[in-house]
Amino acid sequence: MNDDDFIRRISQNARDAAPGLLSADQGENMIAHAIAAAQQQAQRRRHRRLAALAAVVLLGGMGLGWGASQHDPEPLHAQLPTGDQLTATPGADFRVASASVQLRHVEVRHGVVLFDVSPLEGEERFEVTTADTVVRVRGTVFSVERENGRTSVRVYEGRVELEHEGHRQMVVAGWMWLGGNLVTLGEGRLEQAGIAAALTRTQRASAAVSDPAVGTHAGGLEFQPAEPIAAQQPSEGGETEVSEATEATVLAVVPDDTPRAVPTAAPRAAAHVTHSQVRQWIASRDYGRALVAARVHHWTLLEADALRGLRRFEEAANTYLRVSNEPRAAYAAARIRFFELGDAASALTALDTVRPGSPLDERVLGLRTRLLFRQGRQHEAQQHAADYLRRYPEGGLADWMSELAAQR
Amino acid sequence: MNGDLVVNLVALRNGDRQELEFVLRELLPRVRRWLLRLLGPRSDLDDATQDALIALAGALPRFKGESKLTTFAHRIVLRTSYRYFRRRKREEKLTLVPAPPDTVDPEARVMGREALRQLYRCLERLPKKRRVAFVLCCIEGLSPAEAAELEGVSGVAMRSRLSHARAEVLRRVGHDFDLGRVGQS
Repeated sequence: MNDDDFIRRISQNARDAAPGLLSADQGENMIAHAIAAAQQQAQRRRHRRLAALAAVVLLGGMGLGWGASQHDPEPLHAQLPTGDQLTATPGADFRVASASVQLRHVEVRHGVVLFDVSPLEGEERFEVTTADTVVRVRGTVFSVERENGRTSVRVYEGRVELEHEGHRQMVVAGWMWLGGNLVTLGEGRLEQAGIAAALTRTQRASAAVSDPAVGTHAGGLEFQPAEPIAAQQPSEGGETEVSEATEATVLAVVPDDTPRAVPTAAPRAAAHVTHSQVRQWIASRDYGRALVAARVHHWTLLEADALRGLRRFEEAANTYLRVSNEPRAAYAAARIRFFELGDAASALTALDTVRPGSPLDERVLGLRTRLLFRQGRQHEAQQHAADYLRRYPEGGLADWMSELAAQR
Repeated sequence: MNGDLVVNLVALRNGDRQELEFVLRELLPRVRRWLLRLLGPRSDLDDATQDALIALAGALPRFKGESKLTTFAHRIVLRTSYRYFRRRKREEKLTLVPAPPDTVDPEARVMGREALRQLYRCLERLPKKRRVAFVLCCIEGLSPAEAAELEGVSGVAMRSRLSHARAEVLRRVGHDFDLGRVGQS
């Protein structure tokens, strides 16, 4: 089976899955609620437009501009009617050209202004312009600085698109655009405020996330920590796999679209490979190379996987059984012994090494029941079927187990 | 006429409630299916469905009929799903489409559920846009051009995302032989 077949198969499996059914009443309630909620949102938007119009009139009446006094020791804070926050350094010169819901437009003539922009809806726009640059945002924390005829943009959270001399550039959190160059975020004025706002925004967004494996650090960069291999190889060492940068950071540099070349290193280079490389070879069906490397490094589980890929089933099953404290290995051995080698008895023996309480419990019980049934051990099979139904009443094998348990 | 679902555009634009209810009722099964494929088995699928319906109820009166209604709706559901990608919730029990019992290996059924969980665990680790590219092109079966139109990006960008997504899925679960057997009778 090649890669395309594999993808096709797992995709078809996903396509076949159906969501739980909604009753007619549930559906109607959802629809009624949706219409009511949409009407309320439309009303709120109308009120905000009126408030924004009033603010524009007010700001216009204040003289079209806003120049913070050089004598003010503290940064200047302001909030637009739309809820967006602005913080300006002492001496900054900026103008709110438009504060409508559809278009918020601020011109920065001099100094640094930090923006904390609420997420935009639909076709709303938020733009910041300097003499030579346009910055377009979708809901983010960033600062724009105009100093000595040069514009710099620092992004603390989210991303912005800017346009300069006819060229467009995306700048994401943790990066800055400095006079035409994209560099990692350097120190700048209002940095503390920017980081604080980004953290607040991120914490709010992450409030429902319970997975401790995903996190952020100051500056709003998102990362995924290394995937531990201990779950697969508890007794073996190996290099911890480091995830790729998220697409958000990749966007800050030119993304590499070239497909990865298949490694062509000779087998003697196996001594220098990593655990993740061997997994990659197995994934790309380079089983021979994977087998050599796995044996050199005594990575027994990978060795078994490679043998299985080479269809050396007897060796694969025996190798899986050498991996201790790994339910997946024992289960794989059982499946190979039964499905590939037709040996139900030794498959049962392999299953006996799987300790209860593993994530594979349901599958192990299901397979054990089938093996007992195949061996003609009807009574035992029925007992296991009853056990399955008690523990997994809605399990994938529940209907088959029910039929088996009902047989006399 | 919009080509797929026959609706009265004039009535929709005039805020006709009955027409709006009719359209939402027709779209509801598709909305749930799209969300299941985008988000995977999750206990908050109903919440996501409700949010998507609210967004649709607000947007449908502005539908001009320039694209298919289902494409318009799919785009809105896609935007809704992005808000849910960061939220990890307890997995919901799934119902696989039932197959005739004499042609489906019972073991394969439980493997199918496990395969689905594994796939979505993998997809949750992908950057959102690559995840969406995989769902739209591999699971929904859209062409990269169709998926690009839904996402509002170029075909080149979509093909790049899809290529990276496929490579990542293969890297993470491609070596799982049991997954590879899923779907075999």
